[in-house]
Parts: sequence; structure tokens; C-alpha cells
Amino acid sequence: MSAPCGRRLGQPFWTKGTRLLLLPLGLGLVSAAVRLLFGLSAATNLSDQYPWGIWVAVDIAAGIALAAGGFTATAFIEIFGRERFRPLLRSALVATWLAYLAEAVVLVLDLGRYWNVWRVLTRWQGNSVLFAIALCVVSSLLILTVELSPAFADGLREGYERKEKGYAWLKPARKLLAAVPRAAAAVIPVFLLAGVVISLIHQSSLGTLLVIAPAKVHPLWYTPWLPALFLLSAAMVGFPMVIIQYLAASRSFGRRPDMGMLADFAAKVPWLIGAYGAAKVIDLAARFRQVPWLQSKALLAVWLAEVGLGLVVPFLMLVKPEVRRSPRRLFRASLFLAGGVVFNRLNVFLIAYRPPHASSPYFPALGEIALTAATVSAVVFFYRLLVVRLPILAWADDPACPPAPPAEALAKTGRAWLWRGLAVAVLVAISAYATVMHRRGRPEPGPPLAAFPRDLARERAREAFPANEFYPGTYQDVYTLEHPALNEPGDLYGAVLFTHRRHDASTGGHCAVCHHRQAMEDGDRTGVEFYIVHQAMGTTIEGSCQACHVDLREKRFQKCSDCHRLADEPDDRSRPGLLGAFHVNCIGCHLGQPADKAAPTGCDDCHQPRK
Amino acid sequence: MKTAKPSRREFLRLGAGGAILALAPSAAGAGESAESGARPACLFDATRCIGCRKCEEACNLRHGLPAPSLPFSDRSVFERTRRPDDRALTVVNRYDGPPSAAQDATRPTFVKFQCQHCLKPACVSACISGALTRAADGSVVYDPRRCIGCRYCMVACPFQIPAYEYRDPLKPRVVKCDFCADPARGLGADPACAAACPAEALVFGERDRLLETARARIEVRPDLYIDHIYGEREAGGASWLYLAGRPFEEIGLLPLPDRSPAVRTEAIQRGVYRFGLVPLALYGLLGGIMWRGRRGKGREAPPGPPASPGPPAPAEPPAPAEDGEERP
Repeated sequence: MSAPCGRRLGQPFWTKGTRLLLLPLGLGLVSAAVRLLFGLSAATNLSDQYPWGIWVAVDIAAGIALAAGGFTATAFIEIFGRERFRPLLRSALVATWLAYLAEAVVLVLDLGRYWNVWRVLTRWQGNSVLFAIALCVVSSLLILTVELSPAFADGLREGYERKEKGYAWLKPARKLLAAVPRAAAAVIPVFLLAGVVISLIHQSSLGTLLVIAPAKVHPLWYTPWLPALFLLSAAMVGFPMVIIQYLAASRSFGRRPDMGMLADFAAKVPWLIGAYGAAKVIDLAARFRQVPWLQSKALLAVWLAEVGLGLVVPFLMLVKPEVRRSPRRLFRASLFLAGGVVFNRLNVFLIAYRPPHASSPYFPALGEIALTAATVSAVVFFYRLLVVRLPILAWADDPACPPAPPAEALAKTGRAWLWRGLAVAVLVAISAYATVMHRRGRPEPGPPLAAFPRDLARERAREAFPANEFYPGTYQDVYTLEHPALNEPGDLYGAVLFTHRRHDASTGGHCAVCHHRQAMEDGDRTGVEFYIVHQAMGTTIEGSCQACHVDLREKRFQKCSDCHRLADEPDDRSRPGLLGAFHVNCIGCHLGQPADKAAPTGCDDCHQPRK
Repeated sequence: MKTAKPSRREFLRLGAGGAILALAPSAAGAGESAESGARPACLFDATRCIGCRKCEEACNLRHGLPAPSLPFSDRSVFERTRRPDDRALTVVNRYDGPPSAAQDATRPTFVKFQCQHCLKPACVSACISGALTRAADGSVVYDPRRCIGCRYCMVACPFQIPAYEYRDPLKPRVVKCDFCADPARGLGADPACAAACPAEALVFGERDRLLETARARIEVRPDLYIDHIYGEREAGGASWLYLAGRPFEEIGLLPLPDRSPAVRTEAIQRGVYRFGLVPLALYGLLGGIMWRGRRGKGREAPPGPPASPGPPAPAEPPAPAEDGEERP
């Protein structure tokens, strides 16, 4: 028996429901206009920590998962030859095509520099997961367009031939419209295979997208196997999405759904739920010890809700044959599954996405919600428009399709081979371009930096300041801190007058508070803490150093500049240069002083302003 | 005697210019990889930083960024923890408690944040259009002319550094520290922040030497430092290295695995799709299945439901059939 053929429903497009959809569509347009005119900040709550909001998480990530109906139905019906379910195919393809179009629009709105998007194709970044996704979106749209071209051509031609209103302009194209289905029949097998392969890449790449952010996605969801989980869940939700479309259309157009066919179709779904659920469980079991199960109770509850409502409940429903045969209960079970997948994408991309340093959690702005609602509305709106005007849907009581010419007959016509050759040539050309670009497309290094200029600079600097004759070896009340390492012409700040005697008092005469290290021999450039020296001598450093070090002129303290010289000295950078030593020593100590001591920390507090 | 002699900074400029002139032809000819030669880096020492924000000011001036609402000398900004954003490529934050147990207990800790300029940057790997690149000198630089604004770099960055000009409707840019590596501003010299640091909490140098320096500092003052150089291996290693005397996660430096997060995605992207082998094999396999099916059966559908897998056998018995659910 032949399957019933899709046909133009001819029912009115405008209903109360479609008019109602104009409201979210209008609000979405307002949101899009605000984003285009005033920037992303005006329409969204995106931040530096949450660069992706619901436009990515729901419209793109979840939207593409729900658009899996096209590829699962194609694989099942066209590749595995389940001809019985063919009435579902075009509907699935149309929904997928519309979803991809809507996502492309949202993606463009979400891109900061959408006018630059063509550069993706010339700057081929094979490393980038997002790049793979961009290629998949573009090629999927092209392939779906080819697959749907007979429906478009037949629908428009029929409208023209019946002299319906609004079709007269097609007169010059009527021959083309007649030729399209024949050409398409020859090339569609080539393209639909590519479409399925690309969808597999596309769905899994969406999972790979966040593999690069292991520290940000909570381990309940993060796994390097995210691509596999995304692929399996997309495959799982494909059939339910087709069922939802078919049942919704049946109800909307007042047709009796072919529940025998749907029940058999739905019978595959528990297996797919099982495959996805098993993968999820195995993955978590393998990472059992790494998952901080109770770290966030809220996230654990979210995870349980996702698995419980999105997987367990629909599984338990769909294993029952009577559920699969009841339109209402099958519809409900499918909705649970679809909702579970949307919830999963939302969780991975937003709810379990916990970026570090986030000052406030993300919650979508009204503009984001409006556009997301508009996306869903647009898909429904245009789905109805297309199924009313084009031969898409079919029910069991529709007339059967004329039997398609067997593959052999089609294969023998010369023109079919021409078309098929062209299709293969297109695919080969795309692959060749991809391969060339892929090999060339490693990130280009920027302008090369020849050498590291510092070594040269150090040599010259050492010549400039050979000696450290700076302090007179005495103990003055006040020092003017002047040294080539401290001051440069053009500095904003002048020299510091350092009140040594006053600091002596404030440290209680503990010289080692500042004069902290003693060189033990000539050439010792790091020295030893003073207290260690004195411990070895059996003395403690109580009171002033002068008590023992009587003749400071003979046995002077080390000068700061004996050890601390120019910044960035090459021999040992374990010690700051003079400039750094003063700032660290003075301000470091001042920062630790109680407020009533009024130890200065500002620049002008110590430095005299330079004239 | 500094009258006759050029200043230190002029030396650096001379040095930089001379070096570039001397070596530019050879470098241009060699087409060397990013790994060869000296790798510029910065070492930040939290035990030395005094929170003067000169680095922020120098960065702001050199990049011509808008003046902040509060002057750089206003220390009230420390009351909240800041992040680099579209108006500040670097910020210094204050944390309670001393940088090290060996320092004054009442002294706070200051830490500077900016792009880490990873050796294997996730943002560059993620970039869809090649707008972010790792230059030969190791700096990770951004070219707005190539950017499409997808913000995947912001998702990918493990340090959560790139910021975005969300307010710009038409030409928003990703904003992050460029290591002062713009040719127009002079290649390879100190980044503005490092040149401005009065406390040498921030020093610029060759990465290997700075690592030696950092190890020497830890060796000399084991009481002052934690024996770890943050950035040496984190996320595959970075050009910015940090020393501190207290756990790094307390002062805003996240614990990260040693491997760059880009390694995993690149293994998938470059492995699975190498020469398109896996997709081509899939294409062939599915094509074979389709071809066999169509040859064998023609286009005729098998009568009755398909024989392949029925519903799984659940443990629970099937519930009693409910009637009356069908819609009219």
C-alpha cells in the first residue's frame, strides 16, 4: 500500500489562534528593534560573566535539539526505509527548516557585530566548536531547502494552476516550478544523507560547545561526553517532536490522527529514552566521586527534576501501549520529553553555568523573553502558513500518493544522472574547500616580536649606574631619598624627605624592622634576617642597634642601595630594587599601622610635588 | 650623574628599537612559531603590592580609556571587589588580611587582575573568526575587524577576563588587556602597568627568568611565600605569574587544572573531523543502508508495522487499558 500523499489543506490561514500569535511576534519585533538600535545592553541582561543568555540557551541550543525531528524522521523513513511513516516526513522537515531559520535570525541578533558574520567562511577556524556549528546551520538550511523544494514547487504551481489569488506573478516561473520536483527527486538522496550526517555533527557540537568551560558548568552536567549526551537526547526528542506537530495539526485542522501509525512510531521512543538515560547514568557513575552531589542542593533538585519529569515520567508513560494509542496521553508524554530536553539545555547553558566572579546571577530581561516567545510563535505561525498552502501534511483518509518511480527507473534517465552528478560535485567542492581551509586555518600569529629587548637594556643600565655612592655612612635625622634608581627626570613625584630619627622612635629602636637583612660576606646579595644573625650570637635585638654598634662610621649599617639597586637587576630578582624596596617597606608597614597613627600611604603624603 | 646619560626608560626604548631593527629580517624570514625565543611575562608579587593603583592609571592612560568616575587616588573603590571590564583592562582588588602570615596582621592584601595571556589560550581556540590570536611574543591580542561578536571567548576563558561593550549597538568590541603589544605603541617594551609599579610588585621580563626569580624569592623567604607560582601551570600556563603568601583562592585566583581547557575541544574538533573521515564514513554507511533498502524492496512499503524493535519489556505489568481518552 502506498502512504497517503501530502496535500495543500486549503483551510483558512487566519484563525483566532494565528491572530493571537501576532501579539508575541510584535513584541519580539520591538525587542529586536531595541537591540539593533540601542545595543545588547538595552534588550538583554547579559554581562561579562554571563555572555550568553536565553537567546543562546533556549532559542539556539534547545531550539536545535527540538529541530531534531527533521533528521530523525529522514533517517528512519528515507534511509531505513520505513515508508509507512512517510506522511510524517514533510511536516518534520518543514518544522526543522522553520526552526533553523528562526535560530539564524536570533543568532544574528545575538551577535555583537552581525554585519561581520560572513568572515566566518573566509577565516576558517577549525579549532572552534562554534565554527563547526555555524557551518552546520548554513549547510543544514541549504539541504533542507533542497529537500523541501518539491513541496514548495508543487504547492506554488497548484496555486497558480487553480488561479488562486496571489499566485499570478508565478507565470514566468511555471516551467521552472514543474522542473524542480523532477530535478529534486534525482538529487535528494545525495543531499538527505549529507543532511543526516551534518545533523549528527550539529547536535553533538552543541554539546562540545561547553566542553571548553569545565570550571563553569556544574559537574552534575559537565562531562567531556556532553557531545554524546546531546546527540543521544536530540535523537530521543526527534520522534516526540514529530508526534507533537502531527497531533497538534490534526486537532487544529479537525482531522483524525492515524493512531495506529503514531503508536508504532512512538514505540521506538522508549528505546531512545533508554539509550540516553543509560548514557547519562553511566557517565555519572564513572564520575561518581568527582561530583559534589550535595554542594548545591538547589542544583541537585533541578537535576532530579530534569531526569524525573523529562525522562522517567515519559518513559513510564510511553512503555504502555494504551498511552501510545491515545492522542491526548501520547501528546502529553511527548511534551514531557520535549520539555525535559529544553530544561536540560537550559541547565547546561544557564542554570548550572556558574561563572567565577559573577556579581549577580543572570535572569533574562523582558526583551530576551519577548524575542524567545516570538521565535516560538514565528515557527508555529509560519508552520501553519506553509501547511495550508503547500502539500505537506497527510492523513490516513487522504488519497494515496501515486507510486513513486522505482529507484532503478529513475536512475537510468540521463537527466537524473546529470542532476545527481551536479549534486555530488557540489558536495565534493564544499568538502574540498573545507579541507583546504581547514589545513590553512590554524590561528595566524600576529606580528612577530624579534627579540626580547630587556637584556640589551639591562646592559646599558648597568653601565649608566656603576656605583652606589648614595648615602653618607652616617645616621642623620632626615634623609632626602635621591638615587638614580629612585628618580627619573619627568617623574610626577619628587624626592622624599625621610625622617629617620622619628621612625627610630616609632619602631621602638628596632632597627631590624627596616634594616631587615645582613649580608654575610662580600657578594652576598640576599643576606640573612638580622634576628637570625643575632640569635647565632646569643643576643636578642632589643633596643637600639647603637647600644652595641657604637661606631657607626666604622661599622656602619648597610646602605639600602648596597643590596637594593636598580629595578630588574639581572643577577637576582628575588630582591626588589631600591625603588621597590622603599615603597614596599614604607607603605607595606604604613598599611599595617592603626588608623590613629596616621601613617601616610598616598603618593603626595611623602613625595614633595615636583615643580 | 644622570644629566648626560639617557634615562632608564629611554634605554628601554633604544633597546627595544635596536633589537627590533636588528632582528626583524631574520624573524620575518624564519616564520618562527609562537614558542620560540624569549617569552615576555610579568610577575606579580602580592606580598609587595601596596595598592597604589598606578598600574591601573598607567593602563588607562596608555590605552586612552575613559576616565573613571572616581580618581585613581580614591581608595574607596577597594570597598567592592571589581573585575576588569569594558572601561578598565586591569583592576587591583583589596582582600582582608595580610598577604602573608609573615607580614603585619593588619595589612590588607592587594591583587592585580588582567588577562593572563595563556600559553594555550582557550579564547583563541574558541574564536570563530580568528579575531583573537596569540602573537609571536606570547601576547593574546584581539582584532575587532575580524570579530563577529559571538562572545564564545568569554565563555571559554577560564579566568573570566574578556569583557564586552554591550552598550554599543553596532560595533561592540571584546575588551581585554593586550599586554601593550600593539605595534603602534611599541613592541615588547614594558607593559604600561609594569613600568608604572613603584613597588616592583609587578615586574616584566622573560618568562623563564621570572620563574627563576619567583623560585628564588620563595627559597629565600619560605616564611613569606606559599610554595607555588600561580600561572606557571594553571590552565596550561600563563604569561602572568603570581606569588603570594596566602592561599590563592582566597585572593581571587581560582584553582584551575594544569591543562588548558582548549586541549579537550581541540582533540574533538581536530580528531573526529580530521580530513572529514568520520563524517565521510557515516555518509557511506548510511548511503549503503539506504541503497540496499531501496534496491531490495523498490519503493514499496512493507505491509504492516515494521518488524524491528518493539517496546522494551518493562518490569511493571501493563496498566489496565483506559478508554474514552481518544479525542473525537
